[in-house]
Formats: sequence, structure tokens, C-alpha cells
Amino acid sequence: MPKIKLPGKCGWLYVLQHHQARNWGFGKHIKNNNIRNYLIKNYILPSINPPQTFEHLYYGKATEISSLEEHIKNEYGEQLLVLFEKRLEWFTLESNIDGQQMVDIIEKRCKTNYPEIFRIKKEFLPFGPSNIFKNIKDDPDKFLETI
Amino acid sequence: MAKLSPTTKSFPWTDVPVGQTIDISKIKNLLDKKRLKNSAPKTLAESVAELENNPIIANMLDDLKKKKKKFDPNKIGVAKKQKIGTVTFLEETQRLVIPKHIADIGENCKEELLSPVFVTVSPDKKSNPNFDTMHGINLVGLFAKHGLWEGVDSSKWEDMEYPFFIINNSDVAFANEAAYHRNGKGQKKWSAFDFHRIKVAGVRQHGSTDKAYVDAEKRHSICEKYEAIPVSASDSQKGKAGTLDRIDAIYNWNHKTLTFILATHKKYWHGTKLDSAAFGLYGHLYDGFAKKSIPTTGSQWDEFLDNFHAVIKKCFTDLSTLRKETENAHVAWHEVAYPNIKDHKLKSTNCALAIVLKIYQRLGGMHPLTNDVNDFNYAGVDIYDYLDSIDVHEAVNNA
Repeated sequence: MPKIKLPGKCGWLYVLQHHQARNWGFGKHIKNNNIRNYLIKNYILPSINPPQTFEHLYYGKATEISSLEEHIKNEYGEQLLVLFEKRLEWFTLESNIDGQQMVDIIEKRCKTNYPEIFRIKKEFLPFGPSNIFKNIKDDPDKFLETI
Repeated sequence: MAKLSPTTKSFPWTDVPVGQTIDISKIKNLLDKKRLKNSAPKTLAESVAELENNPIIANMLDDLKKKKKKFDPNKIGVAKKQKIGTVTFLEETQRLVIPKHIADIGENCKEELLSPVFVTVSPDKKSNPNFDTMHGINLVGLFAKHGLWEGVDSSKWEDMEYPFFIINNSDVAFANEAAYHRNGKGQKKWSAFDFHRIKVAGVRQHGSTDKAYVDAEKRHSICEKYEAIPVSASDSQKGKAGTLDRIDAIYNWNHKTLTFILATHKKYWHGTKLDSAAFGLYGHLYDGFAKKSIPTTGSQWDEFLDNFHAVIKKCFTDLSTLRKETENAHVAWHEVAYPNIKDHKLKSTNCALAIVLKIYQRLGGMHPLTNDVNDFNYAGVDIYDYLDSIDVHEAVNNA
């Protein structure tokens, strides 16, 4: 029996650094489990540049992932880039928020509010486009650890 | 008061959300009592100096300078007093006269609040086509003709002098354009927060005793007590824990219910954005129990509230997701329950409550419930069966 028990509907929360602009950003993917295609479609193809990766990844209950992402947007809204009056999911360079700070923000919140979100183990990061997480639900203990 | 039957069966879910402490001093409360008492009006020089440092304003100024644009101050309208009889109303410029609106202004007329009449000049220079304050100037004329103005001879009422704002342009098309601008085009309308601010500041800064103002101030104090500081929807703090941006919602409930809504949110969700779902959810819950004379204090009530929130946490994680899933489920359910109706969007404010109560009941919750639990069930088609986009059914079946 796996130690980590995943609910039926899961999603991803990712943290990335833009490979050219160097801003740190975040986002969620909950529509399906395929984080590889999501990375390619949303971050690699638009910039026609292969090195984009996700630096940190979290996986767990879809509703908790959505709430976590919304919470970051709400709490740090003033430090996010704005395009056409819409807050983007990228921190401004002036905010000085980096990957480690984002990990601290995410994990502090998860500890108090989101027990069903788990961290992807270090050995699988940074995540480039691969099928490694294809069967994550079959063996969650291999890929995930409790925050 | 109705007597509660004992809640003998233990509730299967015990993970109850707990509100977290937040540093409320980091939230800027524009209507803070001390701040308002110490605030001094900003001079134009101070305001301009602040604005010219704003990047949007700086870009606008640079752009105009690059284009070598110059504006002619002589084209600005001029304010002066003149006889009201010169005012005309272009049919295509003004909207239709609303007698009730004039009657309302008349009943509550305060002279100081009357606006100048906005006019242009006719091609023959003998009259002034009106482009704003049509109802106001009609009232002024009515008062003059009926002897309601002190010192005005009602037999020569059209000679009464009144403040005009005159734009020296005789093109009728311009009058239309001016009316369009004065009545909406490009205007920044006041938001619910602007109206709220005027009323609260009226009491806190100027000691107003106006009933509506005092009511608004009480509502604001309740918000402050439970650390839900009202902010404008365009405020950069919007969304932060400790703020509240649905100002219209705080006026939808009486003070007692509003207190319950905010106190409950603080107890269970503080530290998370105050989602608008809280108002309908807790408002109907509290009022529903009050109507049925079911106690809203005591250990059984506390136990019920804990179980109620355990349902939300387990099935939806938070109020925001509860609201979104309620909206989705309503559309899916309504399409089946009422196939002949085209609009399936959620319009009721008790739907989220009904859903949580339905889940509570299915889990064997024993506390008496409000009638909402039976809502959203039409001819056997129940909204509960349409909560399939997340794991609600799985969670309930495995409980």
C-alpha cells in the first residue's frame, strides 16, 4: 500500500523561471494529468526555445491546487506583472521574489491549509518535457513526498 | 425557541478549517477613524505632483508633448448667471423627461445640491440648447412659475437668473456629443465603495447623523471588528486576506446577520480571501435558522458549524471553489430540470448553502436544517447529482 494516498481528481502547481526574462512565475494545470504536453504547449512552443523547465513541482488534490494558486495571486497581486489590466502569473523583477522564496510561500501555506498537496522529489527536478510522471498515480511514493 | 434533538450519530469528517492570524496593520484602511480625523485635503499641487510620477500619466504627457499638442483654454466653457428662459431642449440631445425624477428632486430639494445648467449656444445666439441638468432646470422653472423661490416674481419666472455653464459652440452635433459625454461616455462611474466611503467619512470625519450614513458607519465598524477591511474593487490590495471588496454585499443583510457572516468567516477562513460566497452561504444559514427559531448558540450549534465546515473543506477546499462548483452544478442541473428555459445561470444566493446542507444530510448529520436543503430539487432532479466535476460523490460514498 502506498504511504501517499491521492484523491481521484489531482492537479499540478508549477514554479518556473522564464529562461530569457528571468522572472519567476507559477501556475496550475488541473485539466488532465499530462504535465509534459502542458509545458510544451504553454511555455516551450510559444517562445520556440527548448530550455524552459519547471523548477519546482507540486501535485495533489485538484481543488487544493486551485485554491493555492488563487491564494498566491491574491496575496502577492501587487508584485505580479500586469498586462492590459490583468495580473499575470509572473513576479516582477523588482519584487525580488525568487524560486526559493516561492517554495517557502507555497510550502508554508500547504502545511496549514492543504494536506493533500505533495512535493515532487528533488531527483525529478527541474522538469523538462518527458513522460516520467505519466504513471504518477500508480506509484505516488516514488515521485512524491509530504511537505 | 425550538428544542434541539440530540445529535447522537458522530459526524464522519472532523477536519475543520481554522482561521489564521493575519497582520491587519499591513492593510491600508482608507476609512480608519484616526486616519480620517488627521487627514487634511490635498492641494492641487500635491495631487499633480503625485500623478506626474505615475507611469501611465507620464506616458500620456510624453505622448502629447511628442505630438506637439497644444490645447486652447478659450474653448473651455464659461460659468455665469443668466435668465433661465433662454434654455431650450433639443429632442435628439436629451433623453425623455421623467416627471417622477423631477418630483423626487423637488421633494428632497436642497438648493446647494442643484447643478448649474449645461448649455451650448444656438446659431442665432438667442437661446441655449441644454445638454445636461435637464431635470434640474425644469424643476427650477417649475418652482419659479409656482412662486416657490424667495424673491422671484412668478409672473416673470423666465427672467429668474440661474448659474449657467456655457460652451460657446453653436453646432447642434456638438450639443449631442456634449450630452453624450456628460451622461456616460468616458465617465468614470462611482463604485459601491465610493458611495460607502462618502457615508462612513461623513460620520467619522464630520459627525453626520444622517440615518443612511450612520448605518453605513456601523456596517464598516462590523467589518473592521472582524478584520475584513472594505476596499475598492480597483484597490491594489484587493483579494488580500483581511480585505473585503464586495461592498454591495455588506448592505444586503441586517447588522446581526452581517456580524454572523463576518465572524464565521473569521473563525474558519481568516487568512484566505473573503470570497463573496460567504455572504449568501452564511446569510441564508443564519436568517433561515432565525426564521425557524432554531438556536444559533450553544454546543450543538458549534458542533453543527464545525461539521458544516468540515463538509466544505473536504469537498471543496474553500469558499471560492464552493462558489465555482455551485455555479457549474447549477447550470448542469437546470438544463435537465428546466430544459425549456434558455438561461441556466445561477441567480439565487442560497444555492451553495443548499448544496452543503444536502451533503451534510447525506452524511447523517442530525442537526435541524433550514428549508434550503430542499431547494434545487425539481421533480426528482436534485442538484446534488450534478456535482460531478470534483470528487464530492466519491468522498460522500467513502465517508
